[in-house]
Amino acid sequence: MHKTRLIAKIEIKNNLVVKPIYFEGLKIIGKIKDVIQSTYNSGIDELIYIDIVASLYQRKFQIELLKQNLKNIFIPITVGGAIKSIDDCNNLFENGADKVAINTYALQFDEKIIYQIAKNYGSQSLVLNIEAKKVENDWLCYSDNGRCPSSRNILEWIKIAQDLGVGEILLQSVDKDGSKKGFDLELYKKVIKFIKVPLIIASGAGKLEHISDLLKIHKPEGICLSTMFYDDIKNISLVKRLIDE
Amino acid sequence: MNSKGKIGILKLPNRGNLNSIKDALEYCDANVGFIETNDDFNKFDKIVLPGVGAFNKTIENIIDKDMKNELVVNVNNKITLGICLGMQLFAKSSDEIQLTEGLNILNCNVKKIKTKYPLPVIGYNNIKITSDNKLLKNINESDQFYFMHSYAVSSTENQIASVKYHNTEYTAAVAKDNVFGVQFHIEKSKKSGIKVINNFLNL
Repeated sequence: MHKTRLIAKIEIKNNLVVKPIYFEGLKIIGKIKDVIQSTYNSGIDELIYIDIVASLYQRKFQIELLKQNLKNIFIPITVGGAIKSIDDCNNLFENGADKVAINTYALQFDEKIIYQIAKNYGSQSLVLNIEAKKVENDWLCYSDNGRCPSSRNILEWIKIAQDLGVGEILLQSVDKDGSKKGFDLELYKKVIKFIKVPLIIASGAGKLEHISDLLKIHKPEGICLSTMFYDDIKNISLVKRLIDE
Repeated sequence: MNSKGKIGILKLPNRGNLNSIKDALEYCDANVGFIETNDDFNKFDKIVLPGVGAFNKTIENIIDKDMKNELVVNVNNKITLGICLGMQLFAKSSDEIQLTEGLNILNCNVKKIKTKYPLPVIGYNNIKITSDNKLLKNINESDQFYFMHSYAVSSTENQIASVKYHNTEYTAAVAKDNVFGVQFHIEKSKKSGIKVINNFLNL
């Protein structure tokens, strides 16, 4: 049986790992190599590596940084940040990415990029990064690391992206990310029955209890954490034990 | 440096996680290079067909570079390892996106996995050895391998290991003489993957 994967989300700004709080205020965590190495050594199953300012500042992804810091890390790496074309994907796949994560360009500019990537690399290579924020009684999809709203509501966007061939969904909550107050369980309950591809839940976990609360609802294919590991790297083995129970 | 010859990774335009597999082989002290044209084949003793991409696009790339015949000749004569899509290329054909002819080295076809659970299959799983082979030496049920795919090879007499996704069982590894294939990503499977890479280097 496949196990729920424990995934670390590493957010990069310039040459450092940072942790945005509610996708805004930034805390500096450390050097990219050190953070990746310590999470890998602690037994993480997978890494999501996101350049959080590439789209916002409209600049290219820093490919050299990626290449240097992934050496001898033998787990799957998903890379995101300012992907606009098949050429951008080629560049990432040739330099260490096993999957790419897309949000801004697909959501705000051209959703057909999803179909193009899926057709070229297969659906298994493409993760849809959703940054959801509660607006009145619904959730809207945001981009540029939670800064820019779109007109898409979450269920509509999930359906479109799945039909276009996305292979996995990373569900982030702008309201909870970095808060340590627990996952957005209402959001999770709302989307779960509409998702046909593997689902990775992120945003808000601060303690083990939050993971248990999530697992009581449903066991997702992946759980993505960052703050909890930065607070204490030993949490990786504790969460793994909890997931495998 | 491993004394067991030079490893050539097939490099096609716009294909694959090439550095990941190169890093993993070099971590195991292999001497590694890329095969980009027909002239490169004779520089290498063993071949690796890496695996990120769609089947039809990859075959199209091979044909566009006029490498299909030379590739088949070399795979038939050198120790070759296909990883994920790289293994599927050995089949007679694949249904992915559109029916496409493969390299026709193994007697099997590539079909979509039949399951009511989410596809693609993405995650770690253990495998069941179904026929002893040096490629999977010292691998047991505690080893976890990373799978990332929606299509798999149909049952074949060349199967050496199987895997179970919920209640669907399918081929996880194949071997036929000098040709070997793994559906899982050995370059992404922590210590278990490194064990298989070392086994391959020792073949």
